[in-house]
Amino acid sequence: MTLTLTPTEITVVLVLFTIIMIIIIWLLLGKPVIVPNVTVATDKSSYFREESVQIAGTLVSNGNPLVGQTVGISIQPPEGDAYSLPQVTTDAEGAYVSSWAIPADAIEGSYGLIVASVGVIGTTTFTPRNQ
Amino acid sequence: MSKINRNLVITAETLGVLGLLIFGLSALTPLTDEYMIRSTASLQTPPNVEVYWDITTLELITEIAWGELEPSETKSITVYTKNVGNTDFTCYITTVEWTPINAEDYITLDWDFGNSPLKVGRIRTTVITLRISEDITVITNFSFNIIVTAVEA
Repeated sequence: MTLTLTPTEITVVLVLFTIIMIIIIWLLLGKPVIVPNVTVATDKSSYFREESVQIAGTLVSNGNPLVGQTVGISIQPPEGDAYSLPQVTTDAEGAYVSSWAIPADAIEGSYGLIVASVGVIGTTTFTPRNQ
Repeated sequence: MSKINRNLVITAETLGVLGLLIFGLSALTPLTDEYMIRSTASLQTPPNVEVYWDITTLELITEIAWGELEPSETKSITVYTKNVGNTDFTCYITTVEWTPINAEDYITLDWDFGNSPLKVGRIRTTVITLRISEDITVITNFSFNIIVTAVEA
């Protein structure tokens, strides 16, 4: 078997190969990737100690609610160990709610509220303040 | 004046030689690999302790795959220890059931839980560190169990 290519044919093959590679890369990178999104918010940005923080958010994917998904919730104080809140489940609208009573001995500073579900994370912060 | 033939001629023999060359190089590749060690560790906890991959406590850990390691390598992972009991405790770990048995001579495991008690319902960020001795030889796969012990504060 003998395959003879002229310089012109080699150029054509290389150009075609380059075009095919560009198309493959374009298809791979240009394809929309659907990533779920979880939101989280509190009813206020600062609270008195022993006051209840109302937590709410939604879990959607490409604009559609993700129903019946477990949402994990934690609260990270400025120092020390995090607080664990009971897991909740998203409703028919992809929404979830929770609450947390700020301890009487809560230290001052910014508290991080972290939620996670289906591999995505949402965060926000709030602050306890003195009476 | 001689005319230079700039055409590219590919014969069956050329293709065969190229194929043999590629096959030969791929066969030689393992000889140039570094000494790699693979490991897994199962994690056993008492009823009042749970260890998670994430701070939101969705992914419970039952086994840790350390991946590929080299002699002298140190690998750390961050885990989240939760007190799901009714009393505060401090935590310790021990390692048991090493396979092969002598792997224990070359591998150490540390856990930086600290000395302060973990309160009920709280989660502590904990780093587990695996260290491989530079003297390790022969062992290419090992496994062991991590036993977490909670001591009431």
